[in-house]
Amino acid sequence: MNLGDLRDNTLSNIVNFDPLSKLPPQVVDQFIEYAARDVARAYILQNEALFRKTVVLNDGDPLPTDWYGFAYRAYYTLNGNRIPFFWTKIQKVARLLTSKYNLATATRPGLHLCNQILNTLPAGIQAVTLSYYQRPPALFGQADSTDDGLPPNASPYVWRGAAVRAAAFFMDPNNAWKNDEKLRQENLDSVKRYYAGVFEKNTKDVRNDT
Amino acid sequence: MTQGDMILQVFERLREVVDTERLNDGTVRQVLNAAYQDIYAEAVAVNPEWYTTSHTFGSTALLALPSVTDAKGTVMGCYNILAYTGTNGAFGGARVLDHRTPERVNLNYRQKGVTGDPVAVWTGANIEHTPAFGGTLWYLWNFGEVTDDTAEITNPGASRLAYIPSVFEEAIIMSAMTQLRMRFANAQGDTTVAEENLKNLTTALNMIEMQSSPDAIYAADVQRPSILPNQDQQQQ
Repeated sequence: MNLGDLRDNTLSNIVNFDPLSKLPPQVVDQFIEYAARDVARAYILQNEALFRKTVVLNDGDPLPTDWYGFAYRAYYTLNGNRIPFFWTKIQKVARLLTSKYNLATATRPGLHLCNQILNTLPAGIQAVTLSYYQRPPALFGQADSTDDGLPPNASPYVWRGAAVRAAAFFMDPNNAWKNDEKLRQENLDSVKRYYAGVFEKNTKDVRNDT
Repeated sequence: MTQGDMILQVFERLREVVDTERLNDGTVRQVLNAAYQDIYAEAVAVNPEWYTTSHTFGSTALLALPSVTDAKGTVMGCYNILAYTGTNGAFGGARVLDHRTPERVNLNYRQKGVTGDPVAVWTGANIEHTPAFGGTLWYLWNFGEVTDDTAEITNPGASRLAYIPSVFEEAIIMSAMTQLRMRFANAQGDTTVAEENLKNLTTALNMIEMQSSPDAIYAADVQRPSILPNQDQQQQ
């Protein structure tokens, strides 16, 4: 669903609320954008393929600006074969570089994300295809025809989420902060669920950490 | 999103601002910076690789902990050590010891730091090595106040680090909103309301402090390096 439709839906949903007429459309767009990301995180945990995207990077290249999280799949091509990378913790780097029984090699390469750039082990591997979760498209400040990038059945969740945020906008200023604190906590919980869920989903069946 | 855009978003979402014109962008900047640190504590726990960086040094007995300056002029210092990789470490690095341990370890001929397996201890702004050691220090960075509104807060990219992962954008805004609205509520109310709000403010600040205190971060979430056998023994 596009931004214009989502805004109309949000405003219709809270139309009986009198001060609504004061609400600037740009602020509503902000609510819609954040609600859409909230919904997107829930979708990623249920059907991650909807938001997975790939990028081709060399060792030392920075992450793309729409980086949301690593999708735990990466490979490069060597002699016509796709060679998978394993994800490694920084704490394991020393061993992978020096232990003769556990070396990272061209046919058994590792990667980690130090300095928000791609780092390969051994160093210098080129043209690595990296899977990652994409941040949903920006809606705030965009044309009304901009698509939210979510499946069609997601729209009620988006405009309801936006309506909740809009309602908070009109609360009595003396008490509003309590509600803000609640929303902040809910948002953080959603983000934590996302990180925990994505990690669990991607490591359940695959031994990707040495 | 840049800090300037963050400030604008906070302004737009606080309708009291329009009514009272009490708020200036300097205050919002200050409160946002408090929110960054608040969210940093959450982000470093769930996504530590975002804050991982490295510093390579030559063979030395004493290393000053890195405190580098990024392109925007903000200090990014060492927050916690993750690992050492060494040029001469037989097992790939130095052992990082608890600060009470090194003397005892070095007196023990089986455990002491030797060229192939050096030990290191973090003391304030320095790291001491026994014997002299060269290699790469891997650590979590953190940052001070962001004063430049063009600084990129959530988007990583060419030659710049993002302070916070973009997934936390709304949490930053909401954190700043909470603080600003509490501030507004205190300024607005009559004596009784102000007292009640002050009580609530204290509770809320305590809660935030408890959530984001180093203790909470270190104890529960950030994984300890696996190269710290002596420290693990001490904790047991």
